[in-house]
Amino acid sequence: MTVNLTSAPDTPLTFHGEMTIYTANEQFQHLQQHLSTHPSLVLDLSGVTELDSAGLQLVLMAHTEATRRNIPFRLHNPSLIVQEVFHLLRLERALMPTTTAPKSGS
Amino acid sequence: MSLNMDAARQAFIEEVAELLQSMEDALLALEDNPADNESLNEVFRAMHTIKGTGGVFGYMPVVEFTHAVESVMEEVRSGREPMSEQLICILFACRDHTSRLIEAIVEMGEDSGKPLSSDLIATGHDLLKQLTQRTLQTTNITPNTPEQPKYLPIVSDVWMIALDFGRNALRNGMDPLSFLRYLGSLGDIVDVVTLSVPPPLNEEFDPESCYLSFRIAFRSDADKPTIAAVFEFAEDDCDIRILPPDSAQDTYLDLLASLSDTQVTRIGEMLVSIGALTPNELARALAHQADERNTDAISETHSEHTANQRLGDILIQQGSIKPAVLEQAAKTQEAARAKRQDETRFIRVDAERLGHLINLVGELVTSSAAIRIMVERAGVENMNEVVDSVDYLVAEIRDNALQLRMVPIGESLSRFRRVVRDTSKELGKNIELVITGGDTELDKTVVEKITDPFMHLIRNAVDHGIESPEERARVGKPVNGTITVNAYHDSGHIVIEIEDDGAGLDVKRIRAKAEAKGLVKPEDTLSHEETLRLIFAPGLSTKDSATNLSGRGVGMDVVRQNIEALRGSVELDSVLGQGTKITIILPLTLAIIDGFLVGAGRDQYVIPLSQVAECVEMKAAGEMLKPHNGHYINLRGEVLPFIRLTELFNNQHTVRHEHRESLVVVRFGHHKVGLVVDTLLGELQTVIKPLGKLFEELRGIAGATILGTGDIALILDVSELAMIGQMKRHHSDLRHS
Repeated sequence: MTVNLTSAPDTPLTFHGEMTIYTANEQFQHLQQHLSTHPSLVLDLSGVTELDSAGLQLVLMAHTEATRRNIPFRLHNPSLIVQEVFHLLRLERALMPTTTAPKSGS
Repeated sequence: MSLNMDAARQAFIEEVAELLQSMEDALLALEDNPADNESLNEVFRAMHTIKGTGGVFGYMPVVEFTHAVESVMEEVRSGREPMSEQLICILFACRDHTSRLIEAIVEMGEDSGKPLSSDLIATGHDLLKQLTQRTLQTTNITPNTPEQPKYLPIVSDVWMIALDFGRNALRNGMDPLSFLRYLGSLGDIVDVVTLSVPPPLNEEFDPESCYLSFRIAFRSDADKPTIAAVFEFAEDDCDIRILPPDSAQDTYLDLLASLSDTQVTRIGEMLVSIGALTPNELARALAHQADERNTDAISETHSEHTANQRLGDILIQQGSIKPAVLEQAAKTQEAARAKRQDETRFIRVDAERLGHLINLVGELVTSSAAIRIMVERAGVENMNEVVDSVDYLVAEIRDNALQLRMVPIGESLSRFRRVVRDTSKELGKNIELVITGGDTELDKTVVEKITDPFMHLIRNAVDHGIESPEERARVGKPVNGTITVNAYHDSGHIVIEIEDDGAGLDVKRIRAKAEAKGLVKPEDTLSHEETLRLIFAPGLSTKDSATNLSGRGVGMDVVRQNIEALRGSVELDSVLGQGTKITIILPLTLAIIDGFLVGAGRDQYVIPLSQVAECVEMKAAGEMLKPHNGHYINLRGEVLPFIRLTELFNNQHTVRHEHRESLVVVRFGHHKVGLVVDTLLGELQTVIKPLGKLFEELRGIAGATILGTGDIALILDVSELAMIGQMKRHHSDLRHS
């Protein structure tokens, strides 16, 4: 997993590799750091290869937090793995209002 | 605590053994009829239950493996996949692997967390690979028409499932998403509402805690237990509620109304049995009820009845069931309670306790014999009647106590089906195993001890007995070989015959081999039967090369020893080219017998009454034949060898006085022999005490017993005596010719 941090205002927070219980703590730190320095929350999930409940929870938490702070929240180009999880939980509406859902994976 | 765990673990192991056995039976049945739904369910249930209980103990390797097998079975059960012969083969292997996994865990004992041997892990992976690859291969086959689901088919309505995961769910290795994915494989997830409730301040958010809740609308033909099973492992870390669709409710009501009286139990159990409630939901409600009761204990106003009603309320509250179903259940229960009288019919008893009871009964038998003697000596006339009735009762108690240990032999015989199936496949032979008389009863301890010798005999029959199909075709036999196992009772004994229609034993080869080994001298003349019996001698195997299956040192001599240790005997009959028949005769029980007490010389002997054919006066029995080393008598035109006990045991009275000898004719199998004794002392119940190691080599003695007088009498081993008698007869026959 790698995380890219830059200080430009609309810069996305990029998560690579797995977003699982094993990486959740670390990724949470990055998220907090990003929130403290940025006025928006754009998550780039294009490189996510694995998403489990802990990872999903982190995304949900970010969404809640953005809503609470009243800052923009956007998911940038989520990978197929991520889309599949969102579809399973019917989360596309809430998290990705503009993207179309992938075909059912089941 | 650890004691309890041990007991629980023991129960688990026993349960698994039973389940695996029934799985094996089911698989064998499936081989004959792949469409047998009942057997299909049986295999599924076995894997499912082992997975469930294994999970309770935290035996993760078992859980993972059985889960994979169960998933495949589920596919087959739902008709999405046909049952193929290949799959049955893999399932057999899976069953064996499960058994080995359990064994490995048992060996580990307390530290079940230790990693498994790489060997086991490799086998497991290999099997799982076979299972999944096979699934890929068969996906293009058109599925069978879906099978009727086990409980309730629900076609048009939606289940409501609520999952509230506990904070520690993730830390405990749970991945809530995987449950949803699995659920998706059972039907159609119509909608999901994901509720994530993190703490208000994001600093308190712990990314490793779980804050997830789901509300799921789910459409499926699966029944409630199947759906509940999806979440089985989340049980501890998740609050689960599953509410069936309305369409299911009517069916539940019908099922409840039609429950037979014997099925009506406690309300929760009834609901579980029709599938309206899962066992876990019930357990949760009961736990809740117990809590409530503890807090309310001070008021002490709760009768059984109100507690019962409240269980229903709790079930409704926790969203497990709808009120209408509960009402019907209560009605059915009420109606049945009025009618029912009979209680649960079976009790599981520890075999050790039973053994103890039988020992005590044995002591009782000895004591009551002592009382009889005392009364006779004292000459108290009016005591006799009492003693008679006590004797009668003791005999009844003895018979009943022994009956408790009797089990049908079929159970242990049926496991040979698998052995025959596997070994014949391995050898490329077609062999059918026919078992008759499986309900013949036998003492459980005897059953346990004959399993190994039997296994050996059956393997012998498969390996050496039955020829290859080509060979059979060449000699004009049906291509399929047959092994027949037949069991029946005969005069206080159980007779088990194992017969094959194979090649038979080659007497010449046995003879040659025995001479090579120095067991017989070239100049000895032996009858056909005697030569056959040579294979029971240590170190004699007619098959020159040892195969995988038999001939690895454990020979027929061990079989014979094992059976003789049980006071049984083995007989052998074989015709070259036509087959071999092995007859095993065993006493029904090892502990107590009805005996016939006789006196010979200075000692007293007990002959098992069931083997006594008749008693005649020696003088009246007929002219002595000419003695050829042995003794013969003409009993109503029949030549009968006899043995004079005083000569055999060399214990004549020092002062020889005139007396009338009696002849007790005993029979064993089809052998008959006469025993000449001095006095006949009558029947008595005998507790068999085994003789010590020192006397193991003693021929003709099975054990000893303590008489009412305190004297010791030896129990005669009729089979050995008959053998001694017959041997003499053969020798003399040979000399005649």
